[in-house]
Amino acid sequence: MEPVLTCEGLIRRFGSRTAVDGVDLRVEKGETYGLLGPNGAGKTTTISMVAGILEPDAGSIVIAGRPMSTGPSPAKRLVGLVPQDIALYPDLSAEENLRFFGRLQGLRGRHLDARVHAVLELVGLSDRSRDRIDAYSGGMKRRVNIAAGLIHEPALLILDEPTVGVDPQSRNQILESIEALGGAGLSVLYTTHYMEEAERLCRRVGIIDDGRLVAEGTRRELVAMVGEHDRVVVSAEGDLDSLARAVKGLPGALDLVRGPDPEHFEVTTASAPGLLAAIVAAAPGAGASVTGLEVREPDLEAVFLHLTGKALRD
Amino acid sequence: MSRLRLTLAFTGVVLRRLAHDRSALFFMLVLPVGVIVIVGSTFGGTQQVNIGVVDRSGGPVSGAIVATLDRSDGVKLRTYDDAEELDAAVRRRGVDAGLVLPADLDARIGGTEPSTLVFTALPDNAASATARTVVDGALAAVGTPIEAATFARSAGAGGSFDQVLTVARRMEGASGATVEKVDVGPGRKAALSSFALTVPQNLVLFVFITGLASGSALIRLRNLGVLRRSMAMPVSARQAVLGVGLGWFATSLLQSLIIVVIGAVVFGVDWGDPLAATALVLVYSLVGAGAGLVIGVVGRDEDRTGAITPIVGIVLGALGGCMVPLEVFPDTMTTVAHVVPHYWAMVAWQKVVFDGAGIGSIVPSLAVLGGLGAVCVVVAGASLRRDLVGA
Repeated sequence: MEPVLTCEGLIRRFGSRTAVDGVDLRVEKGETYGLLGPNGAGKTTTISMVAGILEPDAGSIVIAGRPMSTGPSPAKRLVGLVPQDIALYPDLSAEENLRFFGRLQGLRGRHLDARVHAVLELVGLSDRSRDRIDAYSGGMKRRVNIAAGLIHEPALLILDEPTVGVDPQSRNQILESIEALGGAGLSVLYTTHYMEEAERLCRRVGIIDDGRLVAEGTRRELVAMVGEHDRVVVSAEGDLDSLARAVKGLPGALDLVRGPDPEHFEVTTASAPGLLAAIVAAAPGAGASVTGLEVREPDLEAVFLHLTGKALRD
Repeated sequence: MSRLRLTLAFTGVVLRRLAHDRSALFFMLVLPVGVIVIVGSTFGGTQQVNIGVVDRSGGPVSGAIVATLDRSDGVKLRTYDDAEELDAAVRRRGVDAGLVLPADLDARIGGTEPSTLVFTALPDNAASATARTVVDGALAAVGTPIEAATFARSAGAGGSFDQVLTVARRMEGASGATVEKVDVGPGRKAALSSFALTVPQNLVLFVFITGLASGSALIRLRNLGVLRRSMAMPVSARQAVLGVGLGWFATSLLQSLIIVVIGAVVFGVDWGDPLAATALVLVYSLVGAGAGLVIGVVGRDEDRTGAITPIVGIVLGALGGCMVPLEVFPDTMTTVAHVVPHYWAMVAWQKVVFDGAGIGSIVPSLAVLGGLGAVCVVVAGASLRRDLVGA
């Protein structure tokens, strides 16, 4: 089956800085694909090119067999973009905003009426459809922002960090809506720097850092890259450098990473229970005292840390 | 879907947002009309003088005075039965001045004892001075032949007083010196409204201010990313820019039309040649829209821009003759005024409204304004397009 999105060798430079450096992407029909990376990794630049807003310096983008360009390309009818910012007219109602974007997508008359009604229903705002956007809560604005991307029934929905700055309740509603859309067969390209969102929504995840796609696969495939190992987060006081050196030499300690927080470090191990007692025992000899130990099962955060040497929220 | 329909989708949303924006409607409609009323009433003044008359004589001489007053330009005459009633009308400002023609006026004509006419006015009423001038003129017109006949009789002229008076009236105007009344506006058919200057001034002033103020709305749109989002749809940047520009142009045009209609219907302004007035409104709306677009693509902070632009608009308006007539400008200021569009618009409006000029007489102003508007729209459009496609 033909993929909904195929990107090959995407490159985009801003002056001397290369924001996206040779990214290849492929999203299948009905798949929710997550692009995971920290702020400034190149996620928004990548999807701006995929959506036809930004011209790539090199590479190609094909949406369901149609080449994408920054002009009024027919491929744009197949894509619904939900930008990270609330890109709506704040002094117009949700309905007026949706009608505007619907018209730009070529919808008219009863079809437009029906689509406006349907997407408002989908995001649960039918009863507030005539209220001005600036009278909505942050979460409600986010939901209308998503509705505007769905107004024309796109083949590929691109969501750029749609839960940033959203309260937990609205965030959960948004994630449930996206799960429902994915379940209904819509292809979704979802960017986030929240590991748990990527794990919850996406079948496959691409990890992007410094403009490069450093890894790609299902959660299981990615976790396998770090060897299905547990991580032990050690919190301690005293001479942490000495303690870290001592822990690194312990049997079962595979790798050790110092994060930005000077009171913590992480140890990768095949067997956490055996290592915990050894860490506590080694602390006095290293001039430190352990104040906390936390065992984490392998996740995408660990994969990112393993691949880039830094945390997702750095 | 036609390209035009996509373009008009942007135009429609600009106008819909305007309809929702009460403060914009206030600045666009209420404020200009309010300023026109205040300035027009304060400085335009009234061109009609109301004079009350009590004719106790009822003879031919008093009748001639009343008739002369009634024929005077800009005079509205009211007759009263008695002096007390006239005095009350003057006190209540029902009339600007009163004139009582005594019962013995006609009887004393040709005699040696003068008759006394009573002129009544309030001391603080500026129009009463005009009324006094009008009354003096009427008395002179009627009285001069009488004085001549009286003089002739006293100098020994033969015949009755009435015969001499008839000769004197016949001789009136035979001095060889006559005053010809010339209409300096040959194209004008109606009298000028007292708002004929202030309404065009405020039209020019406020259309430009509204145009500049719309720039901050464009900055907001850019900052919100709404226009950029639309670039992810099958729409060209050119269509978006054209649609938004059309919306701004329509806004300026709408404001112009409202002021023109209110000026004509409420304030009695005769806008002169329809073709010239229409052309002027169109090109100046283009200037307003172009100025707004330029501000919208150059500016970064919508609040700061929104605070500064009305002040800039007022200063430029004052420089261009929107506060005081261009005729009172010193030569240096007149030269400087050429750099602002308001000057060219005011020069053209004065020709059309005051001189009854046609479109041929305002071609230089139309060319300057049209050129300026076009340059603004093209420059702003290119800049906005670059902004949208990220080139």
